[in-house]
Amino acid sequence: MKKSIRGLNVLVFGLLLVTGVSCSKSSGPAQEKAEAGKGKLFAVSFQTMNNPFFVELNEGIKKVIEEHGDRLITMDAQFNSLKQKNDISDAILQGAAAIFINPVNWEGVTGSLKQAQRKAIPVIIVDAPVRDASLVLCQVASDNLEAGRLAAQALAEVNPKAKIVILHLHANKACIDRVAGFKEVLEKYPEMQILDIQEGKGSTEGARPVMVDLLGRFDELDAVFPINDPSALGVISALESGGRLDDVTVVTVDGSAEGIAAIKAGKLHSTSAQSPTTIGRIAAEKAYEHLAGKAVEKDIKIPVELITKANAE
Amino acid sequence: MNPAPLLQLEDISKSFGGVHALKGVSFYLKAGEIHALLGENGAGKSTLIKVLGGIHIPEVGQILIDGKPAVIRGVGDADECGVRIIHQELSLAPNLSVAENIYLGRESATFGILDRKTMFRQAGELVEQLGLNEIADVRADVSCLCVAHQQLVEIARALSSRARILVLDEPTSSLSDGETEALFETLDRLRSEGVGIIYISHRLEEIIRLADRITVLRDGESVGTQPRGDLGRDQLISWMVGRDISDHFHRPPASSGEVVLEVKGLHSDQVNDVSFDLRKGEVLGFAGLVGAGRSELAKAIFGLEAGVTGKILVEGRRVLIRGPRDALDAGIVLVPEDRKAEGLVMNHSVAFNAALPWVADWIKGIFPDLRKRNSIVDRMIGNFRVRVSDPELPVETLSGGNQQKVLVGRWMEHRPKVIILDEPTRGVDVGAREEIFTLIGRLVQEGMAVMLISSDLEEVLGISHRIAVYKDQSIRRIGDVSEFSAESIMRDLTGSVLGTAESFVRMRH
Amino acid sequence: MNTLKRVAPLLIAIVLLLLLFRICVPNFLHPENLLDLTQQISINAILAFGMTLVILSGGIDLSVGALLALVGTTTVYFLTAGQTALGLCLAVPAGLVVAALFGLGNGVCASRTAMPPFIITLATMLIARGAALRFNEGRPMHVPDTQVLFLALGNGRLFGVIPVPVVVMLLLFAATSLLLHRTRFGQHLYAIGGNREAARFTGIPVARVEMLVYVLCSVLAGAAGMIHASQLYSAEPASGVMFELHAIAAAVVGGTSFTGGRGTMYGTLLGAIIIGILDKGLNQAGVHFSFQYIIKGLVILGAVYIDVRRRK
Repeated sequence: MKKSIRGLNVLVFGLLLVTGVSCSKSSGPAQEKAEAGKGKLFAVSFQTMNNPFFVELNEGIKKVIEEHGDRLITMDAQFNSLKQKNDISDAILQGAAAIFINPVNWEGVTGSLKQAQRKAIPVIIVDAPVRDASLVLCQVASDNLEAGRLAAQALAEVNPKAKIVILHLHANKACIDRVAGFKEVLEKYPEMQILDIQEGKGSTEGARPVMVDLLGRFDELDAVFPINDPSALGVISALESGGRLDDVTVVTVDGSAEGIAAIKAGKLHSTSAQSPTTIGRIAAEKAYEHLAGKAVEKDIKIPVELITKANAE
Repeated sequence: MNPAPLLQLEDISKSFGGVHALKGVSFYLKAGEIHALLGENGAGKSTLIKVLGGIHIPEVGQILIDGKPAVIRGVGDADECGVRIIHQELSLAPNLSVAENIYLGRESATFGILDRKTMFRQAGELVEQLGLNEIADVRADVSCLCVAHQQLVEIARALSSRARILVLDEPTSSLSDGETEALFETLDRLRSEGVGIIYISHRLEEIIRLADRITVLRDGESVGTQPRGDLGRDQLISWMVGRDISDHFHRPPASSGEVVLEVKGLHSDQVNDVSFDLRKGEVLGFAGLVGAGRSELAKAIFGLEAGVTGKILVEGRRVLIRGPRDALDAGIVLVPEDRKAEGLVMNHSVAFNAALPWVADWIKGIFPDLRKRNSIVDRMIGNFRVRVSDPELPVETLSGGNQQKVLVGRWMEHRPKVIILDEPTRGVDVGAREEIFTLIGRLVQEGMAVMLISSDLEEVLGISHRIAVYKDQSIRRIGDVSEFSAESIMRDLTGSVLGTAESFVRMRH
Repeated sequence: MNTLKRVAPLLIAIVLLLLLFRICVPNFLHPENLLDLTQQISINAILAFGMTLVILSGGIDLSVGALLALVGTTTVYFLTAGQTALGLCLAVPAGLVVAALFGLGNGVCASRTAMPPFIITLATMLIARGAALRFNEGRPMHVPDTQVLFLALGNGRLFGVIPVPVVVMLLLFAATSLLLHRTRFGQHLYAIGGNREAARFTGIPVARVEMLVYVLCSVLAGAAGMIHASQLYSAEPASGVMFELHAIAAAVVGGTSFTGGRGTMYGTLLGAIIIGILDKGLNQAGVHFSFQYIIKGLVILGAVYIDVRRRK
């Protein structure tokens, strides 16, 4: 009896492993090539894969790497810094040629970066920055300053005398840049005026109540700059229920499907679209440039594109 | 001046949320005597014991030991006073070994670090000394032992340290006669060593056999204390119940009709090739020792055991029983041994429990037909004279006998052909026992066939028409009740006429 | 002997897993990789030690993940408050006191009231999480670079080889298994998990033992929280989500019975190792993260199934 159970034990674990390994083998021709001994191993660790932005970013990296006949392992940290640390450590010990990291916590990755540095493995940071930039090869992210500038410019073209409120996400470096770019353009238009800057938490649920309050405070308000698409959706919802959607212009940054849909519906004026695929592609290309011995610049900004009703599709 | 008695309880009162469980109970216990506590269920015996053991703290009254007031406010206090209690419900940790259970709460340790080696050695010595050979393997997990042997562990635990006052609450309810006799010998020895023993049991024979004095409790009050003297069984009963109970067994008139149930070559892990048949209007008693596998046989017939082979025929037609549903459809009903665990949903109402098997009858679609449900419940309560003021009261508030009536009665709605009763009188008091026998009589009169499993030989001999002696998972002998006597059954079960059989005969009257 | 027999299937599973991953990942058995493995499991294992104690008593503690975050943030808050030496002397005790207080709260509620531990610790999980998010508006808190000693807790190596978290894990393993398997307290804990009423009837201070169990579990979570903050060079108020479930998984895979009373510390350590090997192996074998979830789920199911079969 005991023996048969032990046998069962072995069988269960064995089966599971076979499933696992066969799953991994069936995931693409490039990988099979790598298994055959050719090609280099790359790894990417995302803070979450539960966001279309990162899925597209991953596709961008993967495309370049597979074109070179190499192999990419994608790891999902699920917003868990510890898991990200462990994942990266696994990749380092497997001798990855380079590692791409989208950090959960911009300080939390320090240990991983040091570990990679000891093994002389280059690290490329994508989308969000890290605290100690000296430990990484380069950081690739959207040009958020430019995104803010584009939004302000778009607003100036429809309403050069706009009375504006900004819904910020104060803690986020990317959003800080967006607002800085936005304000930069405003200096050229003395008649445009910022009435207030409030924390909108970067989310639909967070932005809506804040916007309702702002509408109550400022009758003259006629433009809003929520720093991303989700908070723009919250703002639109608040404007709709307050009956102010027609006389208030909303401009934002992101370029998500929901944002573009809102533009097509005429509720959102513009969004400065980021291109996650481009970020991924450039990041991967920089890795290959470094491996080929070329110098790589530290801070790479990926241009953003303004989307309005004219080019929304 | 007389020396003070070992233990004195004075005017003890305890109530639970307005219900007076004990109303000024006083009694005393001398060193070197066995003092029986008698009373129907709910008379307050268990509460009194828990007061003595420090589990309940009485509102009024005091406890004196050697004439000096003793403060018993917790289990530890009772322990220090030399009070050892064997509770009715087993209080063992099934995941620990025999030795660990014996010394639970009193482990030998230095600075909290256990000395397991000493513990196992001492436990081994103790078990040997007490002659409890069944639990000689003190390293075995208690969960591997049968209930009777677990009871022995409790006894060993109680006797593991110097006990001055030993309390036993229904200690023999799951012991075989042989084990019971071994326990009695131990108690005799302790008595001669000067230990005061309080003994609680429903089995009057045991009390007649053991007790020096008897105190009867009724409704939380002490009715009186008497030396056993010449008190007979019937006097004890009427004293206890407060009324006369004339005859204990009315065997229903035999009316052997046609065969209802045929079991042919039933076999499984727990059942060893069993064949028998059962006729309409008859009671077939299964006699045997605890652990012989009778409950397992019942479960196999009812479709609760896996891997059963053999044939079951109901009214001559072969039926395939893969689960209880099939058995019920074939007209077979099992009333399980453990009412609490297997039979009733204790915290739900009488009505809920009574109507539970017939949900399909009174909930058609999504709407419950409450009138139909209530008529089912009323029929059950009326037919079986269940004493309950309101059918919506929780079933746990009923006496054991009335619970049993609900459990049996609810199956009558669809008039089953075969009823299997597994230890129907276990843990019920004398009055309720009588009612259960009346109930069995009614079932038989209505033409049902009853398969009665009981460890009480007297009961089996008293009401069965035919008897099957069951041992080691198979039937040893089957035949008309006239062919059997207690002695012959004991011989079948133990393989000898000595010792246990004699003691049993002695116990009978 | 008995223990060895009980954990034998776990050992076999570990050997098998190591061999199988050796086939898929060329340098899987490289000492450095294995050392890294022990470091990766340390936090989960420490949480699982505490969880094992609680589950053995018949309870559950869902608050450990949130508590890990709260203790991390509290500790780092005090680290930054004072000077280097003073900060450290203040921070570590402060973190442990917070942990012990939460444990005491859980324990008092679980042992003195009729509230089920699942609900109690669900509530304290929310409270601890909320308290953690009070720090620094929910953003990570930086550990000052001057706190070398604190940073060594998560990143240092003893004799330049063995990671300090692993040393801490082994010390805590020794302490908890000694407590569980060799002391009166452990004996009482098993008795309570096996049959609470029986334990009460034999005079075991049930409430006190239970209370202590929750305190221990929380203090262990606190220790894990400090290691976590040190390893990440910062305390994250939002960290530790689902850590309690991973700890439960390690305990259960290690043969701890969910109804209480059965299980060993050895089993839990091995359970944590099995989960660690799976995490690392599947990662390094390049199994897509979606399949990793599925495989881990199946392994937990399989392990518990085998365990239940063995009990029968």
